[in-house]
Amino acid sequence: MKRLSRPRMLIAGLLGGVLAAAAIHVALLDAEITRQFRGRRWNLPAQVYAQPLELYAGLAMGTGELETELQRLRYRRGDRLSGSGSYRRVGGRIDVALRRVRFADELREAQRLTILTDEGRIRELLDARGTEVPIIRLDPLLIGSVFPIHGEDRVIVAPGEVPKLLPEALKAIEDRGFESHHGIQLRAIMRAAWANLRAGRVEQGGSTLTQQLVKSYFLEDARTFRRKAREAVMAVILDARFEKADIMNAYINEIYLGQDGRRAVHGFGLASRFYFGRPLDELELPQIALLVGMVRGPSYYDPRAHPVRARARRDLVLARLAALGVITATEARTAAEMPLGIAPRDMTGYYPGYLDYVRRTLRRDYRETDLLEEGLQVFTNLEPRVQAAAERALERELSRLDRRAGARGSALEGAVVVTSPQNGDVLAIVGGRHVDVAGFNRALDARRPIGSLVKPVVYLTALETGRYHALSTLDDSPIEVRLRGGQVWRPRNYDETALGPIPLMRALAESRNLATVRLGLDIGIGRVTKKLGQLGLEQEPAPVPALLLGAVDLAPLQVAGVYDALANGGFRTPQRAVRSVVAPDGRELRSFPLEVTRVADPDAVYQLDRMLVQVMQRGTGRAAAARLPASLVVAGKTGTSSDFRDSWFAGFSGDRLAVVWVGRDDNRPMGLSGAEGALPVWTELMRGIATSSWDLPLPEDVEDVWVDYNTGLAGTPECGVQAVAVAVPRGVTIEPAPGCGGQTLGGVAQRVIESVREIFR
Amino acid sequence: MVAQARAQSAAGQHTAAAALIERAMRIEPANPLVWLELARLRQAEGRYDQAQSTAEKALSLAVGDARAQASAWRMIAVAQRARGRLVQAQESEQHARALSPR
Repeated sequence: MKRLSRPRMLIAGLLGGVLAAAAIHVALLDAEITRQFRGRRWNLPAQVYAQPLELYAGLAMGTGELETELQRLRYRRGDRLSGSGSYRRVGGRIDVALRRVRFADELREAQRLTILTDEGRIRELLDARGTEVPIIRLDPLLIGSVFPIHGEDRVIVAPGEVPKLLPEALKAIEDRGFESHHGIQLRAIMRAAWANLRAGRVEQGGSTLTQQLVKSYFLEDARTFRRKAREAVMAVILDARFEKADIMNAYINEIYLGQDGRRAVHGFGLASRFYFGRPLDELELPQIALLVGMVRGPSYYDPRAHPVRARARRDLVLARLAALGVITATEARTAAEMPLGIAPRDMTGYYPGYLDYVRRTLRRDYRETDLLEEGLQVFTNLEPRVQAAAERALERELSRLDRRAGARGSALEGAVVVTSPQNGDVLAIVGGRHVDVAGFNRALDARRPIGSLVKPVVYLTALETGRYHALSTLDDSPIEVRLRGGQVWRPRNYDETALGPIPLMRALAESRNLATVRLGLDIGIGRVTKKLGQLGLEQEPAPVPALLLGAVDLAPLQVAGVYDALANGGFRTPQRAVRSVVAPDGRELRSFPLEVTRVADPDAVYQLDRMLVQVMQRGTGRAAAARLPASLVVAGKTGTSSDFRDSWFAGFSGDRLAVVWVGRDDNRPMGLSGAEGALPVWTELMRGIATSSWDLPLPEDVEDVWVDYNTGLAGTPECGVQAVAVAVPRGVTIEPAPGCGGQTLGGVAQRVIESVREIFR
Repeated sequence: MVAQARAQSAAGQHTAAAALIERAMRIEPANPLVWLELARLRQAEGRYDQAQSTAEKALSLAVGDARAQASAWRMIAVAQRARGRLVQAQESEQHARALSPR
């Protein structure tokens, strides 16, 4: 008897305490909760989207590649279309039920699309009525959001976007009395209190959905009796003031469902994307059961970390739903046979390096709170296919180089930036080998000496003076430069030799240091640094002689800016990661329009680019040729800093430019030149993406001539020299090579133009 | 797409027109006609410095296409005139006339 009365008294005491606390706080709480909940606005981190894929007849994409893209966007394959977000594939034909999506410039309603392919190309696009569609975009991939450090991230869903089954399942599993209770269930609380008292501490929750919501929305997580009491009172107030449906919708958007590094996954909308890579309204019974089961312990039942445990929990939920009549026993059995269907991490689109750059771009224009709270949509230029190829290329080649280097020193690191030089779009950023870790972003922050990457700017500056052209003779012989402090600088060539007089184009192709220093001193270092500023460096580097060999520290992204102008015929376009920022109501708040500025003489840039093509054909970049398609014309330059601390390559095709850096974080030498470290990464990347040949049109004041590569004297393959086609200003006279005399230049030039046209077709 | 852009630009919807032109440019970055369209849009917006440099970019891609070159020179001339560079504008007009007398 005594043993019974003591708990009873205690319970009465506890209840009294709860009521007393409520009496004191209730008025204040009521006002506060009602105000907060009524005007409830979750902090809505800005959502960031990748560039959508444009489909049109003639695009080089086969059915297989199209299917990969649809799967990246988590479209479901079936024998027939089952609502938006599904597709079917029959031979060279794909039918897709496109989702309703917002682009930066329009809202597209859900619609049917048929894609017909033929030999690796799109032949025709048709709408639901069989009418031809000239061009259409796939959904932009959601690549992440701008959430605060240690912050909450979520994708808000409206009641209409919630599958009907979800609230039913939540009620069945978490709170069967939801529709009838008043925010709390006294019986459950008492049962929990009893258990807690026996344990001497708070162990059981006994929480209704309303209490769970209150706890997540209003309260810090501290398991004390005082907090429990406050939570109960607030739940009662919430229930009294608001409709059950509102409370349910708030719960669905609020509840914590997992952790992704620093990012807390809140709400079923984001959880659906985070675990399945799909919008919530496309989830079916097995996925819904899994998420509902996870509410109890998101890390304990994490399907990526503990798939067996998560699956057992899901199947238990399915069984209980069947037992309670929410679903049939057959439905439960069929669903229990399904795999978990968790999206692989790399297919949920997580690009920390790129997102980091997007955030920095936006911080220039927006207050931090707008980015974190206002639900902005940010449309970027990330190309998921290019980004994936860049990540793969870096990891693959660095692993290979690590193995080659054995256990010497720390692991190699690297960074890649890929752009579209004509419009300044930044397509991909890889900030390091381990893309899962949003740490040090080497693509943006690792400023290292660029070595010979500076040489094209020296040569461009020389061409622009009008005193030099590709066949001018440079002197590749030792030189001593007296520095300001009285010291003497004695630059050396990479191979410690000196070639003497050589043609300018060969000095660049073979990256001759002595010839370059002599050239740079002749035209003036100040001119070169000024050109670097015009090409895009915010700060002109110091005009010291060593600058001519790359004594300037730049990050890969900055190098890409300078080379963009070289690839774009002498026109500079500001680098753009963000295309547009759109408010939740669809208004465009800010766009970043394409702007071009002429920063170099297009004729000089053309001649320079042709020399950079020569680098890839005969010079320091020639190793790439063996691994690239023979028909692909590319241009580029290697760079190596002193003692082999930094290995660089910057190069471009017709529509893609990539800069690769390889080195060590501790800046120790690694023994790799630009051709050995960065070039293989660049080549592997270019192999992995669709791209076209470098093909600027020959300017009218420039002509092609055949010359001997070694001497720069005029000559054709027929007269037995190593003939190469070189672009020079019209009217330049060139001595014939021995044995090639007698031919007039006009005749040579004529045939040259024809042959070059063939090469560049 | 370019035709649609021109219609939107005529209706004063410059931002929408620019978005369309940029889409077209991503597909055909070396097509001088698309760059000319962007230059035309910048001119309509009254942004003459951008109109000029964009037309210069079009010109550099229009080798061998006299009509496109002439359009580019005319657009450059309009921009130069609007920016008060009358002598340069006259030279640009001469280039245009030499390519396609009007």
